[in-house]
Amino acid sequence: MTLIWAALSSGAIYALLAITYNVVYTSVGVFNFAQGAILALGAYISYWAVDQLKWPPLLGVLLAAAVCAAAGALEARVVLLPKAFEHAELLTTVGAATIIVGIVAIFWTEIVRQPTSPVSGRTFTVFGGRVDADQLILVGLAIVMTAGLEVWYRFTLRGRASLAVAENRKAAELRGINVRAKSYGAFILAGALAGIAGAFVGPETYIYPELGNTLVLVAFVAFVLGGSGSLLGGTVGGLLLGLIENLTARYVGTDYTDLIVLGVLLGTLVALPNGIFGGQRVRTI
Amino acid sequence: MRRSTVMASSAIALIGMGLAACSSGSSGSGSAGTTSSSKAPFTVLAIVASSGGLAAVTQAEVSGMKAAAKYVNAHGGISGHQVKISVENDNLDPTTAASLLQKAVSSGSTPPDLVYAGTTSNEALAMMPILTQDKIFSLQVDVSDQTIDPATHPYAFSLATSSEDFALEVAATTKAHYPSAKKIGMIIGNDVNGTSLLQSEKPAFEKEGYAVSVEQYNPSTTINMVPQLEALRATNPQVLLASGFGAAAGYILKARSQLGWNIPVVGDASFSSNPLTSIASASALKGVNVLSSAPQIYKPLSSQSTAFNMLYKAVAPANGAFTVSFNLYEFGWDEIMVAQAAAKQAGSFGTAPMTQAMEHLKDTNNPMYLLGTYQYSATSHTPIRSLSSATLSSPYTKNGQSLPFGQR
Amino acid sequence: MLGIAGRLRRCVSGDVQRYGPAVPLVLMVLMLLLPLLGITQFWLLQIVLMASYALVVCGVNLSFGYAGELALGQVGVFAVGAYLTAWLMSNGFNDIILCVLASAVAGAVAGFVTGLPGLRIGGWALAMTSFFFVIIIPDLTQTIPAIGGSVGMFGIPEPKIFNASLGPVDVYLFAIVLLALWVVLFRNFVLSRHGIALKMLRESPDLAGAMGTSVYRLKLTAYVAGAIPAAIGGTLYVTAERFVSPGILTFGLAIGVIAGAVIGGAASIYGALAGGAILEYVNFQTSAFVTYSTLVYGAVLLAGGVLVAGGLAGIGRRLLASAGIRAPSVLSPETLAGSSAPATKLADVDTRRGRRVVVRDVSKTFGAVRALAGVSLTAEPGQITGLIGPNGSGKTTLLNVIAGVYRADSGDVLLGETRLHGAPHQNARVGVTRTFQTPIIPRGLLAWEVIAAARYEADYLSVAQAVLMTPKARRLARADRVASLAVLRQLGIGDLANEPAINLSLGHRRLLEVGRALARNSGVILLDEAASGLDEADIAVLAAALRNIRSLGITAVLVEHNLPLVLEIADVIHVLNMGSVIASGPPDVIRDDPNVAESYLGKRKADRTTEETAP
Repeated sequence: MTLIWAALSSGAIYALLAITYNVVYTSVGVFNFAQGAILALGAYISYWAVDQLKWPPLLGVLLAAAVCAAAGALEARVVLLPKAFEHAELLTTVGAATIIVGIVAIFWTEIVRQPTSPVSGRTFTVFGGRVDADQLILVGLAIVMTAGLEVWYRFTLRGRASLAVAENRKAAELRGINVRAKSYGAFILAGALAGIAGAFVGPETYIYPELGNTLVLVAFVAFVLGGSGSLLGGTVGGLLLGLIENLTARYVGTDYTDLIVLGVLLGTLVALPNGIFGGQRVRTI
Repeated sequence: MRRSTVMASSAIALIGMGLAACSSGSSGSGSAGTTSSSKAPFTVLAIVASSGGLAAVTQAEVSGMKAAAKYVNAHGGISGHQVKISVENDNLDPTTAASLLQKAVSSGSTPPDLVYAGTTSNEALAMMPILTQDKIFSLQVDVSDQTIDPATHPYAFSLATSSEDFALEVAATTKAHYPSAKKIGMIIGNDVNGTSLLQSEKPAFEKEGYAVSVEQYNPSTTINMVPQLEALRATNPQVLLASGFGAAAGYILKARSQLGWNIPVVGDASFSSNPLTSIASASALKGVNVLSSAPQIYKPLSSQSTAFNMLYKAVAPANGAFTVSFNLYEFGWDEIMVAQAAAKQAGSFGTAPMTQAMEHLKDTNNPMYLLGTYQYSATSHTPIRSLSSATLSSPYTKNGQSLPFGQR
Repeated sequence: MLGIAGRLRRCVSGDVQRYGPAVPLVLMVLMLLLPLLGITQFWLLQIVLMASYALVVCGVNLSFGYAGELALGQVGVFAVGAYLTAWLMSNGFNDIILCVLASAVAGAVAGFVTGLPGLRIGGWALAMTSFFFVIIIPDLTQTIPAIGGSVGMFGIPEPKIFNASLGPVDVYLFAIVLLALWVVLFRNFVLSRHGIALKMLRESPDLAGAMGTSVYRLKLTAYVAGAIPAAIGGTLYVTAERFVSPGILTFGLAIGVIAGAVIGGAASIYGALAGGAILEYVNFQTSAFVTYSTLVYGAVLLAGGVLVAGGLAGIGRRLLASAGIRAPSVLSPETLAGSSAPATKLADVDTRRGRRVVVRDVSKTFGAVRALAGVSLTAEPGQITGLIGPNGSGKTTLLNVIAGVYRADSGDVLLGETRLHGAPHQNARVGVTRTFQTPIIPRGLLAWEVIAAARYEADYLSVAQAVLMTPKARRLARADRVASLAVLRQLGIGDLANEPAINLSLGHRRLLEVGRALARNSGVILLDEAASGLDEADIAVLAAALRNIRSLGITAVLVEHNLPLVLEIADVIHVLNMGSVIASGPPDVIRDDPNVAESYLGKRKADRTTEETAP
């Protein structure tokens, strides 16, 4: 059972990233490769505030959210410019990720650091398995974020406006929705969420500049598996992948873990392109 | 029009930066000491990973070398020749390492008298064929079988005990501290370090009569080691050999404490060079030991040699808080000291005489050496030492040195 | 003095098409002479490394710059080539030519195998999947003990050529020759009709599909073609460095290769060379630069996504153009003069090629809206059939059904005797072409190329033939040019042949669309509001072109809002309202039909009863 908790906690990390992917994707239709780097940035900002400046943990989380929201806004500024060619945003978001990693490396160097956890470092025994406090928080955070966002999207006017933009930009614009602001807003929200997540992920994974790169690809598989555009799907996908990764490592062998994750990715893309929760697309032919 | 201007100017800026960087030469550190005499200096070239994940390790080794060179130069140099160290950064990339070396030995420039080939085996492996082909003397810390092999690379030597001998020492000291253990579990990475550790350590443990079970992790994608440790636990070992640097070491300890598994841990060389106290809590470090040798265990400065004190004074950070283990600095120091002994004995800096001198080194126990005795032979280019050198010690450090076993 | 300069200039800007292939050969000779100039061995090997990366960047160019597909697995194919070469050389097969050929084959196979599923996925999902491959390379190398696992293979023996050992300088010479050969082949490929088709594909896969090209097959071709140089790049790397390990195949390399392609100019032959050179050069700088180089890479990628993807090569082209040097695809004055056949004669005219189109009781509903309610009509060959009606009457829907963009819910569309169904590109294959209201004109193509692109599927030319410039390839290239010019003249815009297509006015671009249909020997041309947005002069030109088309026996169906035009040139007009045909007949009849007027203008107030509502 301890294994399951560890798997869920890693899965929660992927889920948190997948949530941020979905926030951008549902509003802007773009996959933001830089979310991993932004999450790592959040982890570093929180570390800087709490471990280096000795601020209280809550302020650290808030500062991380603020800085990462700003990073999201800056990135949006470039990504939302007219594209040079189809799928140009992949190039742009990879570029943004590279820049963020570079900046973090310049300021904090490559030394691996252990941020203090915002919650106590205690270990509990739940359902017969041992789990650390920060692991439980990660799982809880993923669930809370998903639920909160779903409520916001479905039941608030602003949230529904975002969904409208995702469905049909032109129509939304004609209805008076400020499409540009919504797009920026999506990046800013995703940035803030990644920053908050980072503050909690850092103590669990340790922080080093390339942390984002390690997480971004597996989280992408979670995003695809759950169904691109589905918040619930991203979370479920993340948790599932955490389980797949850890159970494979435990019972089959580490060498096969990456291959199996790749297999999941290919299988989903080829056999189930809309993922588990993705909706059916209307086809005219 | 404007867009193409932007592209053009950014392209020009890029090239300009490149040219500027190129013309400013290597990030050479210049000489350690002025060359007032007309005698040609003893040139040392270190091609190492000054950036990237092992930057701190490299910086420590290089600082040790520079401190030693400063001392030697202040005392007449090597028979009147000043020691000059240059450092090139290969960014942990074997291709870059090979290219940097080729640049240094290309026709037109005098090849260095001594090369320190890489922070890791990966870089050393890329450089060895060139070093051998161009007959250049090298002395490093790397000890992989493919590099330090007198038959294929006759001019390459190492400061560290060979991996076979080291593996036997590890097995022996584990046995000494945990006499009732019957099975060892090994948790290692599936990269170069891990694979070579597996090849040397497993047979050594089996020779001591242990049964061995192994689990591997992928250092670039693993973020949690509970599955691997749980798999190991299922095989019922009594001692855990841990290998990993950086975040990986942290994950091993984290997983162990999450599983509530009180198994004693013996860290390998890479594990032992982590600043463990800054990546794990006190409770996670209970029962964790690192590998050391007698010279590496903490003693107050007053009980240390003159050489130790000189090095310490030269490199210790202001608040005494070392971020890497002190013996990395000591390796750098010994690099210069051993090279000096060989050069003095050879009477010249040529590769053949230096090699001859090393293989028949008389000055095996110079008080300037910090990490033990150095003795080589025609068949062994790693130091021949007694097998009881390695010992287990505490993960807690003072002055960058491990405290004795069990202390904190 | 001026005379000489002028003559020199004319000589240089002369027939670049003829002299173009000489450029790589001249460069090659210059590079081969470098060792004699005292360039050190170190720099020679650096150049070999640059060449090896340049080949990988070439691979990225082919799939990304030309086909517009973000397939980024070239680093993986590079690994395949490198490891295969390393294995061959360590096991006694160190003939360098053997290794290059083996790599090329292995690369093509790897490209094919990864391209098949990969290109069905497409888009950013494909890019991410290819990044994934880079990550799992260490895992893959673990499973094959013969290739050294995580350590890799070191100390690989010297390469040989026909049993003579190759020293570093020899390796350099070989690499230069190989690279020059590749540039020539690559150049032939992109200047051939494959290249034109790829450029069109990059800008608009929809258009390519509507042209009858199998988009998927074209992309796969580009991807496999791009995998070959990547693998050969791996061979060059191993022969230069004599080692290979998973440590050299990093995420950073994958990103660096894209950055190199973007900086160099992703749609350019020489851009790839520049990109490869820059990649190796940047890799090799001091530590301060290394740290900041990450930022520079990132900035380049960031910029590359939003600025025009011309890169250094784009700048180079502009410089050449401003110096008056003609790009290879521009037709020479001789070509333009040589094929001045009288406007009305086309080499392969078939006045019987039009086919009759029969629409039989077609219905189509979208959700709650019934766009077409049992429409039946016929369009005869050699006639212009007009389809008019107010907004929302269903005329564009009907056009789309005939073109195959929509499938009718009930009823048939027949072409001659056969039923039509299926995707636009299949319909296009049987000779039904449709123009778009917003002409889809790809960037980077000249007007004559846009027309010539339509001939891609006719008379198929294999990639091998194109690349090797076989007699058949040359013959087809000439025929393409001749046919394209003839069509342009037919349409009255022959003098615009060398104009970049996107610079043309709207009216001319519409004509290009029509011209494409002509070049494809289409029997049926469907025009969707071709006159919208045109001024009087352009409309006259369009009308003349349409009359020419009619005289060729083609079936033309014209959906139009411009009543005067339709009344003037159509032979038969069908009027649609609310999904049904309310009137059919020649222009005079339609002009006077009261129902038609009513559908457009509404009933006169006096004629309206209380139950009727205004349409």
